[in-house]
Amino acid sequence: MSSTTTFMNTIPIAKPIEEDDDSVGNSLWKDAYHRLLKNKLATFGGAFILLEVFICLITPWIAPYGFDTQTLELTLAKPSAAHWLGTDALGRDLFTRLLYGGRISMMVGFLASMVSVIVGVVYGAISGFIGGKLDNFMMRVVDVLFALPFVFLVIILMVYFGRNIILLFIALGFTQWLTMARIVRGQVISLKEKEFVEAARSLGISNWNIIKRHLIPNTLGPVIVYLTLTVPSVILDEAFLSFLGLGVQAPMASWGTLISNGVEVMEIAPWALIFPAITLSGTLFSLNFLGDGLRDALDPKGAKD
Amino acid sequence: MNTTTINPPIARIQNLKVHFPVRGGFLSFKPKQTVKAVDGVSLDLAKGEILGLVGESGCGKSTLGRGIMRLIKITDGSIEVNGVNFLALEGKALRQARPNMQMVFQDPYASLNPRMTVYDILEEPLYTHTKLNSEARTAKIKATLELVGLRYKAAKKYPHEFSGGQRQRVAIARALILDPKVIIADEPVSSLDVSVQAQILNLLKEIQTRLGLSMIFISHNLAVVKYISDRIAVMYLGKIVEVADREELYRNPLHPYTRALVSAVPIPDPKLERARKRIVVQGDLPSPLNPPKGCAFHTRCPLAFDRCNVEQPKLMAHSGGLHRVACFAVEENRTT
Amino acid sequence: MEPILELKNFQAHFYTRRGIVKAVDGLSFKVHRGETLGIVGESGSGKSVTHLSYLRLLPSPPLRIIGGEVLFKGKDLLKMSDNGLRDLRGKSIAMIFQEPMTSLNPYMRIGKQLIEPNLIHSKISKKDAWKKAIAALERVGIPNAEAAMVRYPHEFSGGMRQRVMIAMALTTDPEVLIADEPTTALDVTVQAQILDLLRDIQKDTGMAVVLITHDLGVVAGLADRVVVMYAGHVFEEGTAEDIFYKSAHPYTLALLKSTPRIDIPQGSLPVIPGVPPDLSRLGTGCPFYERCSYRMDVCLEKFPQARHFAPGHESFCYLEQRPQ
Repeated sequence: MSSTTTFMNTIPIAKPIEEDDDSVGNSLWKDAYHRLLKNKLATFGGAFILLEVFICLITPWIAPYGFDTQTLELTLAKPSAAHWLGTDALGRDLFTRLLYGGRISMMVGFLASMVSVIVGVVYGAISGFIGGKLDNFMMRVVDVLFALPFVFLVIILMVYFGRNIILLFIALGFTQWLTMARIVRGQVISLKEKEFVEAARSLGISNWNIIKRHLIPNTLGPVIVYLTLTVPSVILDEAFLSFLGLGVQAPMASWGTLISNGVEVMEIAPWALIFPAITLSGTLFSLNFLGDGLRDALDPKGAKD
Repeated sequence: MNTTTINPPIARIQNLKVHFPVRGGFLSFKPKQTVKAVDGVSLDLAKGEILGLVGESGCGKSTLGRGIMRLIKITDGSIEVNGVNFLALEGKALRQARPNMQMVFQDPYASLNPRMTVYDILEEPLYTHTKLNSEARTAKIKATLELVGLRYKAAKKYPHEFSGGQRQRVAIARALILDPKVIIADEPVSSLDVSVQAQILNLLKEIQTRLGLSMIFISHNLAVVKYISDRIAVMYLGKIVEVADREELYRNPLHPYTRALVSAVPIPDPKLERARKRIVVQGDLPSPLNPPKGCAFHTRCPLAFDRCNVEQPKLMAHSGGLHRVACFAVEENRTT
Repeated sequence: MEPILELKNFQAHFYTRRGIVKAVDGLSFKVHRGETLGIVGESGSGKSVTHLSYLRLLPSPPLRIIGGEVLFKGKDLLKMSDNGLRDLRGKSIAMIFQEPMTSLNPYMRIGKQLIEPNLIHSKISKKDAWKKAIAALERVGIPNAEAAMVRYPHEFSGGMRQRVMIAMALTTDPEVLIADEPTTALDVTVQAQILDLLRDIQKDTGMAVVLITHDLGVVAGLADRVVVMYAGHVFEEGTAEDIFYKSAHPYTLALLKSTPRIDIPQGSLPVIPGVPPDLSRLGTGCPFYERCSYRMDVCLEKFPQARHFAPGHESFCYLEQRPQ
């Protein structure tokens, strides 16, 4: 055990390599971050999202009205000083509803995506790492689930368990984890054969620790990219469901319900449709730009030019 | 160098076989075939010795290295390291025995986890296998880095911030940190620049001498193997065809394949190189799916005769010494 | 005798985000008919980039040819039109590479690939091109050449594929063959066969061969003259005897001494300390300064001029006498 410690005070046996600088190392994440910042579109997208998230968080303090406060004299009013974005058919301030709707939409989007990531990564990593018959079976399960039509699934869940926002998260996250699992499994399978994984095995690291410390961190690149592309997908799904009346229930609002309501009055009060639509589109664009930018920034081939 | 008759070997491999099944496919009528990557290899590694394992592509030397490390599945045979029946261990017991034998891989870019700092890479085996506290671990990491010629400042950096030679030093440090008895080095300098190769070779040599390690050095480069090894084994199509002390092998190669190999290695000396007579090996390497009957080399051998088609030669001592060859022509003194 | 290929002060840089990578910085050498010029260097020396860049095989940007001349039979390739160069490339100047698997199209039968150069460059019929291709295959030692024409690259072993690639280079009877690490990926017994083949072919055809490699043994066996490159510069140039027995540059000497050999016992290999330099951070002096045991202050300031030790033997170093 102590054969190397006896050499602690002896002269090094090979000429020491001079290191250029004393700084702490630059992880690949730092490199990627810097490259991301150089991508103007992605940075803009990222900043926009951060701004939206911030606004959603402080909504209760900045919203001029309650989200279900009705001013019945002023239904379908044009945008004015009192109501920046106008009012809807029940006299509710649209700006406030947009803020609260954003909270719901983004919360659903991020939470459902987190669910999909956690389930997908663990499932995919185990399937890919263990391989063989288990992997085969697990992937066939994914194939079958993939084939189920999303909307029918949600309808069935809603009918059975009633309309519940938690159920909405689960239903939405459920459809996304499948692709995540496939992506992670593919990554893990190719990583498994890499020499640093072989080295970990030859050092006697347990399988679980290999997955945790060696495989998953190296799959995070594609996972993060896919995550930023999942969030808009989920928000859109939620908007779609709410539009159909299956998602968020009145008096709560989400961008989907706002759009749905807006469509109903679009000929006489177009602003009721335009503002939520622009906000939703803007958010989706930003997330997509960010996702694209992340994919390029995290691509290891581009790292050293 | 120590011979196995004087000291018990630190590692003993007997009749090791690694066969890979090749499926014929779902609807194929072909019978299941196997690739006999390693087909009955026996080796003894003496304590403090460097055994070179040399051969061309397809000979199975890398597979043998990984097989001994139990990174791939062994089909048959036995592996004994430091008195422990390595092959009989499974699961947790196998993991706990790992510190005895460590490996240095070929590609310094792929053998280090790009997301971990050098410190993390070296610490992981320590907290997996030892009960050292944080301070003791740091001390050990520092000492090991110094052993391979890196300053402790390197510990905070990530693999991609180093050159190939420096990364290989980190890989060597990782292999040494658990104080193994045996190191298996699989082409450790083949991916490095020529001017850096000598650094790493010297490093390995000095570490091995100082720490009394036993090493199996796998390479396709005969000159490199000659420089670093005490004894050398030559492989062809999954079998060992010749084993001898370093000087003996190059001065007096007996197996026709070894002779062809040695004559083919270019020497950086124009007069010598142009005056050499090459022993040319005809034809191509046979498919490992369908190795020749009898001696694996006989289809390309200038000395092949009828016995070679039929029987497989065994490694036998030549003129009673430590030089062993598996060749009927040599055995029957039919060398022209 | 006029050289068939001559480079004069050739400079090629890459303009990247991280800075300007001076891949080739003032390279000059000559090759004559019937001669083999060995270009020796490690990775980053610029030995491969040189030829890829003047043959316009590298994307430009980020590559930019800064200066110098590349004269083929007296005509400057750098000043030629793209079409003019394309006529020469593949016909009079042929190139073979390290990895035959990536240089041959895996989806095309080799026959089709072998007739392509002739169909493009010469005005001969498909039948004649086919015949020439078969002759080339036979010349490189492929058994059953006619049957081989309809096979795919993956049906051949590594050594055979390399022979096919040589055949493809030879079908147009080139005057210069540039061989970029042609045997590095091959087993040593196969390498010996391929090198013998190259030597044979050169004797028959009298073409000039530029052999690029990092392997000193390969160079010793084949090259008449040798150029030693490092970090985009030439360090030494001379005949094979000059370079191997009378090395005048510390790098050449260090390289020779630190290479393991099978013919002599080597107790301990002298080592070249340090690592090859970052090509985007080179100064105006000698790039070998950090690692040279003979370094002087003047080496850091300005890259040395050529110093002549014998006719045709030059070293780019401030040392007055040959190092020991």
